[in-house]
Amino acid sequence: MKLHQNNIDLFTTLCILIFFMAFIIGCKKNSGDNITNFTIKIDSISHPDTIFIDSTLIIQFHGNIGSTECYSFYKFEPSYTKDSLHITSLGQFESKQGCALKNINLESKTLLISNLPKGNTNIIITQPDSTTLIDSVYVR
Amino acid sequence: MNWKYLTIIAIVLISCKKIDKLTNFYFDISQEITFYTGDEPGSTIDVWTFNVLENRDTLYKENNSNVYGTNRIAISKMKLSSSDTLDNNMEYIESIEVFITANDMQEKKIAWLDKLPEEIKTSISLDFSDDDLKDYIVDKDYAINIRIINKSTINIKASIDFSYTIYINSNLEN
Repeated sequence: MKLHQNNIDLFTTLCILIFFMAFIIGCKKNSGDNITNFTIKIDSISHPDTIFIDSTLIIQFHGNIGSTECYSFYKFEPSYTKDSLHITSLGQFESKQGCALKNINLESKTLLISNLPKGNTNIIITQPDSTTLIDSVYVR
Repeated sequence: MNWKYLTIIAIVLISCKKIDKLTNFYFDISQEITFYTGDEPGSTIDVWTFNVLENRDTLYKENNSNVYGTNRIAISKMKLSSSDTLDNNMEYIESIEVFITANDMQEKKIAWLDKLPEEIKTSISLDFSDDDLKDYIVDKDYAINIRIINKSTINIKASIDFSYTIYINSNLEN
C-alpha cells in the first residue's frame, strides 16, 4: 500500500516537472520567434587596395540596417574559396512594440581577415536581392 | 582454463600491435593580427583566418601517415600574445571567444576566456574544449573566427600573435 502511494507521488512529481519544462521551452520558443535575421544591403566598403603578406586586411562596411531601434547588426558571415572572399552581413529585426524611429547604420563596422594568400583576392559582398558588390585586394 | 589465458594473451598482443600502428603528432599554427580596437566598450573585434592548414598533406607525410587514417584531432594549446613594439599589454580585451567553421559544418566554439586575469600580462592562455575536431579539419578548408570584446575607450592600434597547437592521432601508413 505504501509502495503504491510512493508511485503516485513520483508520478505527480514527474507530471509537475514535465509541465514546467514544457512551459519554459514554450516561452523560449516564443521569444526566439520574434527575431528574424536578414541580409543587410551594403552601400560601400572601404579597405586598402594592397596589403603585405602576413598583414591583416581591414574591411569597413557602410550601409543602413533599418529605420527603427528594432533593427540591429548581427554578424558577418565570411567564407573563402580560391581567390575569392565571400561576405554576407546579417542584421536582426526584433518584432516588438514601441520601437522608436531611428536610422540604424553599420557605422563602418569592421571585419578583419588574416592569412590571405599572395596575389589578387576578389571581395564579393552578397546583397539582399542576391546581387553582389565586387571589389578586390592585392596581397604582395 | 589454459585456453582462457591464451585468449587473454592473444588479445593483449593484438591490442599492442594496434597501438604500434598509431602515431600522435602536434602541429603549431601562428598568425599575427593587427587591428584598431575602436573606442566603444562592448564592441566586437571580429577576426577571421582562412587557408590555415594548406600543407596538411606534407604534415601527414612527414609523420608517416595520411589524412584518411586520422582518428582524432584536438586543440592542445591556445594563446594570445601581444606582439606590439609599444608596451601594450592587451588591457583593451574584455573577453575572447574562438570558433571554428568549415563547409557544411555548424560553427563550434573551441576556446574562450570569459574574464582576463587582474594582472594582465603580454601573453594569455585561453581555455579550450577537448572536442574532436576531425570533421572540421581533416579534409576541409576550415576557418577560425576570433571574437574579442573590447573595453577600451580610446582607439589604439594593437598587434597580437594568435597561436595554437593541434594534436593529431592517426594510423601509421603501411
